[in-house]
Amino acid sequence: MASTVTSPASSDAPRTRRPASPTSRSAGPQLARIAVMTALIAVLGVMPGIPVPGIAVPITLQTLGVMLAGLVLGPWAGAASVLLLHALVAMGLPLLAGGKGGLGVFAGPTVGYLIGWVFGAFVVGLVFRALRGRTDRTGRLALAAAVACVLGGIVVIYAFGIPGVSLITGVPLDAAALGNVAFLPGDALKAALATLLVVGLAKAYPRALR
Amino acid sequence: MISLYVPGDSWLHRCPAGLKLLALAVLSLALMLTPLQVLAIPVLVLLAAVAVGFLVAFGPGRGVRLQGTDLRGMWLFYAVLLAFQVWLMPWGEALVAVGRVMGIVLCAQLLTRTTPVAAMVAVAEGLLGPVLRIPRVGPWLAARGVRPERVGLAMGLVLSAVGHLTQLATQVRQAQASRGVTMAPWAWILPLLVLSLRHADDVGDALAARGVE
Repeated sequence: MASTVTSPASSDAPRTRRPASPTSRSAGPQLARIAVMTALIAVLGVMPGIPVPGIAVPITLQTLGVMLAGLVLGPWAGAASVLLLHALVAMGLPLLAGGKGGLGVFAGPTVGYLIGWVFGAFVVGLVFRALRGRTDRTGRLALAAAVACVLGGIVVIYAFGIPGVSLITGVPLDAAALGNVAFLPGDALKAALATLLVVGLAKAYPRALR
Repeated sequence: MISLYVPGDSWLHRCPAGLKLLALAVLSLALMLTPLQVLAIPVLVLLAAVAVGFLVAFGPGRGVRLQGTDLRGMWLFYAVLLAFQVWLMPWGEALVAVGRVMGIVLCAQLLTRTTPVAAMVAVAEGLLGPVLRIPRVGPWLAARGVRPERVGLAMGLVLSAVGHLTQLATQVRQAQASRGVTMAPWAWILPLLVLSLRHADDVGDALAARGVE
């Protein structure tokens, strides 16, 4: 058991037997990646979040998972993995942060954010792929990931979430936007974290990003 | 993986999942489109009906307990919402607005609590069939590999992966703790991410070997 957990830098060493066909678009491997990313978003929601002093709102890592889905899987598969999560949640599995789930979540005021996740993952994937080009240079990778996460993971999600709150609750848009400010520090932190993670991933498991 | 479904034998349990979903959709749409001024009595009736629904489905003791759980899950939100509404509109309307959201959420949770996941998967697969026959949208989805049986397979894969990934996360944290590494609290995510993606590629190979290409 312990041998499966090595430091990320050396984890790829014994696994060089794989033929180099990472760009293959066959359904099986793609399906597996989508499903595992969905599971990762769910697991990140269960794990304890990052404590940030001075902020009362608990920061869950679930939107970090949404950003990672876009970065790793690209626009279409990233959005598909979030949709898959929503389908399972709607069916009654407690996969959202804090063990929440069921159709009630989609009748509640946070439904806008949940819809935003789908488009957010899409935009993250789109922007990251476009800005990153073909290089693996760390600086370029980090810049592309940071811009992608801020645009897709914050701006797009808020663009759906704030009107959602306003529509369901009848609170005017500007008031809903004001209430949303409480989440901004946490989300900025998550965008930074996703950037660091993608740079680390490119070094530890470059296959993942091809 | 434990679902939110609670087994039982009430008529709410026996009612077909598709019918319940349709009723919920119609109900929430109607409530959202009706102006708040005329909703006071409907909302009261709805809240009473949903409370009775919980009792009918699960009996007095468990019914109250489950409804309490589903209410508590969002109490903070209801409190904030009420504060906002009171600030914006008269007391009566504010209460009705909060009651409306609460009623729809509780109805949806009642449906979730009385419908097994397998029945929901069946409805989802059934819905996907006609969607794939919509001109333009259907072929576009099919060309991207969306097929009803694959969606079912993907759902199964997620459920098994959640268990595996939870185990991996625990292992990574224990490994770091045993080496006495005191890294940032998020330092376990990168190893988890790498191990997860490697697991995904292994599952992908297994699927390919079984002819899912």
